Amino acid sequence: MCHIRHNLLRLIILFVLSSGGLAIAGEEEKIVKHIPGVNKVDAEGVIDLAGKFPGLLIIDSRIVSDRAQGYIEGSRSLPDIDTDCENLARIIPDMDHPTLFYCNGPECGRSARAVKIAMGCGYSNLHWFFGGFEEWQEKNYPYIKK
Amino acid sequence: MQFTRLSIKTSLVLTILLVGLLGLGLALTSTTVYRDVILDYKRQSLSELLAVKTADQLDKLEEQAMEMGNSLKTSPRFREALDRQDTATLSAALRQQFHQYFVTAHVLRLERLIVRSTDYELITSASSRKTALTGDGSACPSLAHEAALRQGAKRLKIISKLCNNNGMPYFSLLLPVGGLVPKGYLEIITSPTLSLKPIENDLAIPLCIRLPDEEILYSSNQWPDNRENGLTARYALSTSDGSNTALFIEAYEDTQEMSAELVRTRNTLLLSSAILIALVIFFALALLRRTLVRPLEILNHKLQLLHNDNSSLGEPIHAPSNIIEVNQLVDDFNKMSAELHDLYGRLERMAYTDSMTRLPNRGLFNDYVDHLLAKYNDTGQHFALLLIDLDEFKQVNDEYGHEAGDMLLCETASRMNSVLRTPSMSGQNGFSLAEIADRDLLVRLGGDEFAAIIPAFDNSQQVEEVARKLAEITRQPVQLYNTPLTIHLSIGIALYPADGSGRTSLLRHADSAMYHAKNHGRDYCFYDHTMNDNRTSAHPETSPTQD
Repeated sequence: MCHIRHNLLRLIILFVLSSGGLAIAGEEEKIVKHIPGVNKVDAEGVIDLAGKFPGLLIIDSRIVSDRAQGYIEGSRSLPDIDTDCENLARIIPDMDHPTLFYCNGPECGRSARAVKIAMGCGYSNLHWFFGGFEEWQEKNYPYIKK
Repeated sequence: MQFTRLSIKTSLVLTILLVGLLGLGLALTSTTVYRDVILDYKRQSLSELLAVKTADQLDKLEEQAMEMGNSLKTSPRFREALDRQDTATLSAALRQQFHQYFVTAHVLRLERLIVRSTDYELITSASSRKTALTGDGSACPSLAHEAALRQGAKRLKIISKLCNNNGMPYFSLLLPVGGLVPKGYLEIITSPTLSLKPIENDLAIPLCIRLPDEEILYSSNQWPDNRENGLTARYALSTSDGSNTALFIEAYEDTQEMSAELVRTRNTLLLSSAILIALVIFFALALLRRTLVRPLEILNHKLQLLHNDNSSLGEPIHAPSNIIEVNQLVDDFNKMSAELHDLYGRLERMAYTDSMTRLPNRGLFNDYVDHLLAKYNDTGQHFALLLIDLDEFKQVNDEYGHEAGDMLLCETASRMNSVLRTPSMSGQNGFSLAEIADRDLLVRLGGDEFAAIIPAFDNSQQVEEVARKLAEITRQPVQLYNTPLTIHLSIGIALYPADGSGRTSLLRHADSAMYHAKNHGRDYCFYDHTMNDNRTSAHPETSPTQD
């Protein structure tokens, strides 16, 4: 009887552990890789966009302290926590103006959040630099640090 | 091949010393090898460290150059001048960098700044007054050439190069200007030497930076002229294309303390080895003395003793040892000594015995007489020498044959011996004079001649009694082939010291007395001086010259 109870306990522990594992895996899954309706680009894509749209607005969704480590020349700072329709309207001239968001890198999440907010506000020409500053620096593209 | 003769002790000490010296030599050599290996290893690690530090410093240099370039290119005056292609303003902005340069002077040494168009054509440039660069172009022409080959987004990348120009090293950085759509490029040319200096503080050791032709560009204050007391590690920094050496970066580390520590360790090792060797020699010798040297010394002593006097031959020696071979040797020696003793005895007997009568012979007789002469000298003791001749013995030989003569001699000898106190001749051991000492001795001198010695008599009557008994006992007939034969003796007696003081004179006088007895038909006769040698003795040893 005692033996059976032990086995039961073991099963319960195993279940809890495995479900915990699934929960962690689920959080990893939460890294947003695609946002429907948004153009996802890499570093070269950013430069091509800049060539294509001379008025391309680049929004840095990182917090100020992260931006101090260096930023893409010409970008404007608007941390995701401050991103709302009002603030966006202040810097984006019109609803279909080419606008690109970036943050530190794929695991940062801030740019994805900001893009979604912008989508919600009705902006239609949205671009998203998924690799972020990490990819930019790694590929030896120029950045400003002040 | 000839070897010097050595004692066991010496050869053992020499062997241990030799092994010890070999060990010490090995220790000395290994210390040197060990030191060299350590130094090589240290040198290699230090140059690897230099390589890592140099790479770090060049990365830092690149970052600093970029920061400088950023501050220049983001200034509104510069951007506007570039937009207008205003060469004069651009040139002035570049020159201003050299004037402002003292701000960053301790981290960056600017040599030249160049503004290039999007096609990498030179728009304008400004150089440091101190630069060794000639003309107004790039220090690394390959940089612009390589940049021109790029397409699309890659044209925005920052590229840098380390190269040699006119024998001097330069670090060049090409930075796009004008945001994400380049409007031109800024080429920043620096001298890397200044940026490499901090390595000396990082590693806290003296540093020296040399040109490929060994000319010193920079050396720390502590850089020693004489670097024999330490190790110098060198890292050859290659140009970016890998074709040449841009710089040699050297670091010096004083190894005197390490060498001193090694020498101390070696000396301790040598000292303990020497003590160990001394102990080993001491114990080995002590052990050897117990097991080998002592028994061999006893053996050797015995042999020396036997060399001078073999009387102790046959006496076993006692030399216990733990070594089987040594015990075996001692046992074998004792066995051999006993056998030799036996053999000597038999040889002595053979040498001193008359083979026919089994009586002692002339050899023992002479020795015994000499022995008594030496012993009785000036002691007042007497001995009598009797020469005995068988009368008409030749006739017996002629008449009955030699065999009968021999039988007669043996019988006569046996009878005479029964009268005298001659020791037994039948023993296994040889005669020794000590054994016969002070006893009568009857010997056969040869042919039909016998002799007897009667030592330590009190008066001449005792001698006369013996002579009479000898004559009497031999006078009884001997049965030869059923024929009774009667033998007559003639006995000549000489007394010591009255009748002579030497063997020859005694024999000569006894001989005279014997002939006197024979001529006068008497059984025996004492010598007196009236008998003086009126005949020449038949005995060769009685010639006066031998006296």
